Amino acid sequence: MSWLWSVLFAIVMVIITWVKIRNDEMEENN
Amino acid sequence: MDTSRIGIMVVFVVIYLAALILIGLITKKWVKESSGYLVAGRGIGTLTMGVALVSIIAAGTTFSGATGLGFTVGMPGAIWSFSWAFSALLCAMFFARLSRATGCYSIAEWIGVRFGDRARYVLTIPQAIASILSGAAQIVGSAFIITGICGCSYMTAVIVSSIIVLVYSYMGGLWAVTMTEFLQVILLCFAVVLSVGWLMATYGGWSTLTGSLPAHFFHYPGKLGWGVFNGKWGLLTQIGLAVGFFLIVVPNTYIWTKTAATRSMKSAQRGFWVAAILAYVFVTWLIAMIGMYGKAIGLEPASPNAIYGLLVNKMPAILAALVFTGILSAIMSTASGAIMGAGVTITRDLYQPFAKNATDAQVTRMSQIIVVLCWIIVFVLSLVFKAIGPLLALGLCFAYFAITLPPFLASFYFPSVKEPEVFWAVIVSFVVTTWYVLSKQWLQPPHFFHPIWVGVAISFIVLVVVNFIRRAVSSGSEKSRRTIEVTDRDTEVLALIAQGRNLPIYLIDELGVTAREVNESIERLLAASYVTRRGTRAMGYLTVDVTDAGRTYLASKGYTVQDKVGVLSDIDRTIIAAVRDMSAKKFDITTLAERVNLDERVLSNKLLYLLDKELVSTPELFRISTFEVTRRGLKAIEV
Repeated sequence: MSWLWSVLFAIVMVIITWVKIRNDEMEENN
Repeated sequence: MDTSRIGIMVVFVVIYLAALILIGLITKKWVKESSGYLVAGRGIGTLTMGVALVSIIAAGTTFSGATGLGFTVGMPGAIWSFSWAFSALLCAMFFARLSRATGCYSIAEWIGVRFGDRARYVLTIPQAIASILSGAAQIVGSAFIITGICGCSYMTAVIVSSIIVLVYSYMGGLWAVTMTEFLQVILLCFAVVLSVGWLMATYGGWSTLTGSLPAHFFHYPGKLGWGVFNGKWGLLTQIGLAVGFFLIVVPNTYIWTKTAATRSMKSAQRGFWVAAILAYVFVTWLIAMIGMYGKAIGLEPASPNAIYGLLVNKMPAILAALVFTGILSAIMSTASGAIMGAGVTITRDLYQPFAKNATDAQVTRMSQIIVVLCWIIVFVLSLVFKAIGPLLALGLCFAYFAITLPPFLASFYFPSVKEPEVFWAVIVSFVVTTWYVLSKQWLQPPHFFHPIWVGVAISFIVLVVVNFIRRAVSSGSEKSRRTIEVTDRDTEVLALIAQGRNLPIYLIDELGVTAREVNESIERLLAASYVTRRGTRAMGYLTVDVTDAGRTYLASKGYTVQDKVGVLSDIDRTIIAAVRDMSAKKFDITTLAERVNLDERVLSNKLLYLLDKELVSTPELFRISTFEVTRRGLKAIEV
């Protein structure tokens, strides 16, 4: 069931991107 | 297949096609000026953007190819959309904001602003051809599915699917394309979920798969691999595919046009993120599972790519009709997006520069004609590619996008790159990759070098080499500083920058001029030291700030200058206050324009800026017609 690792990878990538997006938005607002 | 099944399918398809035409009719009324046709008046919100993007990967090639992979290798079949979603996330992180901030409608327009016209024209060619080819490849896929299920001739199938695409794209422009994509993605998500649900209910759940398929079907990326990597180095294949998608997703003009059409930086960036999640959920694992069920229940298709069709034929009539409509819509949405992308870049980069005196109505008319011309080429190519195969079309298409990646990256991150590098990189790699694709060598074993790798490598090498030569030859000072005449337009631009419009997109929208004109103004203001760029790369390059000299100059011209950056101008405050006062009741832009005593067009352009800065917001999912004031907006006018 090693395909589950890629699900985990996808979730991690989505979270990292979200953090980056929020960071960009905060930066723009300042 | 019996006639009642075909009858139900035809009914579904007719309803679906009628809905597309209806969307064309509705969105036609939304288009008031050329920006409305080409970039939907920059009114596309986060969710609409996400859905429109996912429609690109949820294409005919994915439905046949990825289910085919699911059938032959199992879970690794998800690799196709998985890699695409990964690129979408990279776009969200690094490129969505940048490309929107330029305010350009197409990549070539931006390259023109950054490097010069010669670079712009040569870049338009591969971009437009690539878009058209990708549209044609989809129509071919669509025609194969229609003939496979309905039994009509290939010619009839091409005519039906492509004429509908033409009708709605012609009428409503990017709005119609985006709205139909919305409908199409909803349909295909239903199709995927219902297919898997039905397979599970009929043949048993997950245990059916684990019970009847070998263990390597559940390893990811497992034994996947093409060419010399076949059966080994699955991880390397995964990395290769992810990078490959990066090469064709990032410098892709129809993705750029979608980004340019979003209503704010936030929508652009979050849209890619939403698209990645939708792709993960609907077109990765579920798609692979559909193919795996085909294997588990022992179907034997003529080609693995036909597995979905075989499963559809086993489904009950209504479900089959729904799934069929879903697949059809996936294909048509990708095709119309691609035709529109080609239309935008040709209008913007090959027609408008040579028709400087054209009125806005003429530009809209011309862009409609160009969309029709692109469609005719797509139509002819769809007939040609039946004979030579869609693989060649996609090879050329991907390679043409890939060759523009080095200039694209250079435009943001490598300030030392100038026009000659870009010009020669595109020309040389265009010629070489065309020869390489048509030589068909890459289709022979060991399938090692797909054209995208050849394209991007040559483009990159030429870019670097010409850069070295040019810098070695042109030593010393490049041009003598002449005295700069600051025009009235430049003063207007400067005043807007002082009001916080510090990115090209704000200036372009607010003045209703092209990116090129704004850039020329900025260059003159830079030379006069009235503004400075915040940096040399990426967002820093795009952001301009007014200097003290600029403030003094503005004051001397009779403008009231805010002494602090980020303080709203009086007119912006008036608009926000008016929106606040009117929020309680329904209103449209006309009423608001009367209230604040501004021209409707000027007002809507100002509202785009306020929307981007989140001082006002809009409750609408699609076309923006009403506004609400946000908490930030309230705070800003209280100060």
